[in-house]
Amino acid sequence: MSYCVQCGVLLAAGLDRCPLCQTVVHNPNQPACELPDSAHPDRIEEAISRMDLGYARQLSIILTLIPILTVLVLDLLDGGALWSPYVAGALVLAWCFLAVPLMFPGRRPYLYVALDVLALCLYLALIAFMSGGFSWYLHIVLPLLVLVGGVTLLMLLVIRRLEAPKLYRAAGVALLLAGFILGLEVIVDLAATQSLRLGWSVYAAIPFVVLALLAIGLQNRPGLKEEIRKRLFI
Amino acid sequence: MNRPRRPQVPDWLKLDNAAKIYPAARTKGWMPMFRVSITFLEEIDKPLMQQALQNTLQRIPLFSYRLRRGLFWHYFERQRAVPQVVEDARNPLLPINLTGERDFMFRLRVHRRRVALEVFHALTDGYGAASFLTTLAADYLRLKTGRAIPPQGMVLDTRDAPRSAEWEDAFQRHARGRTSPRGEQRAWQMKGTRIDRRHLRVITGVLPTEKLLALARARGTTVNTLLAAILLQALLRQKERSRRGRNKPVKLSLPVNLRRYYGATTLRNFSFYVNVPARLDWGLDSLDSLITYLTHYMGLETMEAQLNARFSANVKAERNKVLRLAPLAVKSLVLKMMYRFTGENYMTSTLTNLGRIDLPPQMLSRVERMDLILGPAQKAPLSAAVISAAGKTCLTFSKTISQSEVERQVFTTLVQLGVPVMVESND
Repeated sequence: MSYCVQCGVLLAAGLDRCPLCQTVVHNPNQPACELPDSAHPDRIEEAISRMDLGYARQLSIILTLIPILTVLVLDLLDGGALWSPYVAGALVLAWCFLAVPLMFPGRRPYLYVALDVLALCLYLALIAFMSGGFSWYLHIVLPLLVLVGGVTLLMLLVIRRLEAPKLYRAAGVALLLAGFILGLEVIVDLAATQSLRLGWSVYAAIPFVVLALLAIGLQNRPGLKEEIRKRLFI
Repeated sequence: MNRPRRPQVPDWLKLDNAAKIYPAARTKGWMPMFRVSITFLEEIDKPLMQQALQNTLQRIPLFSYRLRRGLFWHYFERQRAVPQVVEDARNPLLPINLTGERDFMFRLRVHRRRVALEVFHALTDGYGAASFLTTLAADYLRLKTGRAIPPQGMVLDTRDAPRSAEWEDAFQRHARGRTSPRGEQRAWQMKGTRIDRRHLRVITGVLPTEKLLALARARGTTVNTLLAAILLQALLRQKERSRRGRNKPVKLSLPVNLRRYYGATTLRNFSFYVNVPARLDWGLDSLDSLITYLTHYMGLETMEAQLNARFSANVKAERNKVLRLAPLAVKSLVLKMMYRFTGENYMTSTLTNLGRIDLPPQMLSRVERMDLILGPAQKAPLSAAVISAAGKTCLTFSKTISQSEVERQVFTTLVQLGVPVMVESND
């Protein structure tokens, strides 16, 4: 072991410089290459990156409940629940859309989409109930929400199939968009005329179908794909 | 002879008064922690250490609890599992994961001849951790040599039954009605170049206890006061070189073990602290003047009535009905803010001293030394910890900045005063 010529302290075995002043140790009787191992292990441990979100969850619930209870009480004091359910419902909806994905992080986003669609269905049902008519809700809103939710879930499923080639996944998304447009016209037609006659949606869906077929064809011809990549790379 | 009845170990416990702030104060990358370790003279047998850990957890079941969240408060929940002994790392005191089902509030690390216990401060203080580790070491040596080590000092016998006094919240038991205000003047904060967040720089000075004791006696003081004076002097010089915060005093936080005042045997948190302010313009420019100042200041501040009034204020706040009814999330937010804007603003650095650990002679012949490391604070970049065992006193600085002027001055002062220092580091 050596002493630090600057600080006068004895340096532990394995130190090639003084940890206090960084002066390099020159000990002719013990060259640096022959230094014994340090008392400290070499392994550096990685820090935990997980975060305990328990407080944030509780706090987000409390911060949502406070205005809900406030408007409910104010509304009741004003002569009955006339407007507060709209505000309360909107706050719950905002909590489902914003707080849930942040506070309950999960690997699969399907539950978030399902919860958001369900929350939206319930909120619009509340508005239908408060405004005294379920007809528009049952004929247009509910089928549209089910369609949007279903297509979004299927798109997520396609996009997240990482083992499939990208072009196949793009083709899947394009086909789903085509299906969505067709479904949209079906719902609108049935609600408006109670009869089914596909028109504009077929023309709007054709480009998506063509894009899907192009993507599938391109994926099956590696030479053509490589040629395009060669000429269009950025 | 009738053996005393085994007390029922509770399935859950409320957090003690001092522990309540720690779960709230922690952040994603920081947790209030400390580490106490024993270096043996021989390499450690890991399976035997695992067996000793199992035995020690039965004797000191406090360490087998995990942290859970209730609606209004955190609580400890007992679990039957035994954690695995893990290999030590160069970067000590990384935050422990407490979110899992089988997560404990401590970690036991082994590296060659050294066994180290890293603890979340909510579970216990330095005394409780040192008691757990020395009991574990005694049991390990019993398993290794086949000879029992009689309990002595903080070393317990793993074959005895646990005692309920070991998990009592002594703050609640000893708090009285008289309280004192908690406000303080803010302290000057040291700045420096921050190192990698996952790394904690550790510099340990190993000193011969007898020489240190002789030096303290020659100056008419204690080892604790002498080391505090030397560190305070180094901090004052550091502040003199700094341009910021000239009006704020340097404040050294000195933890005080409350067990000696009340004869408590709890292994949970039961310590308090005194923040000693100092300024050069108070005439504190020599070591002797600092020793005199510290002796009188600590004499006044560590009077039982004074300490009791201070911790009773915390207990009174905990008993406040409005605070108790607030949901945990709100409470945690308030406590986090309190810790951030008051707690650490009142100190420049900390010096904790566990004192001389009284090890049985059968252990002394197999132990080289003991070490104590304080985890990094959120604001104060430098902390110091002292522990003495087997004739060696280890003064360890732990820091989150790359500069080393303060510890250099402390160690060179000790060398100049005739105490040889052996320095080691994890750099």
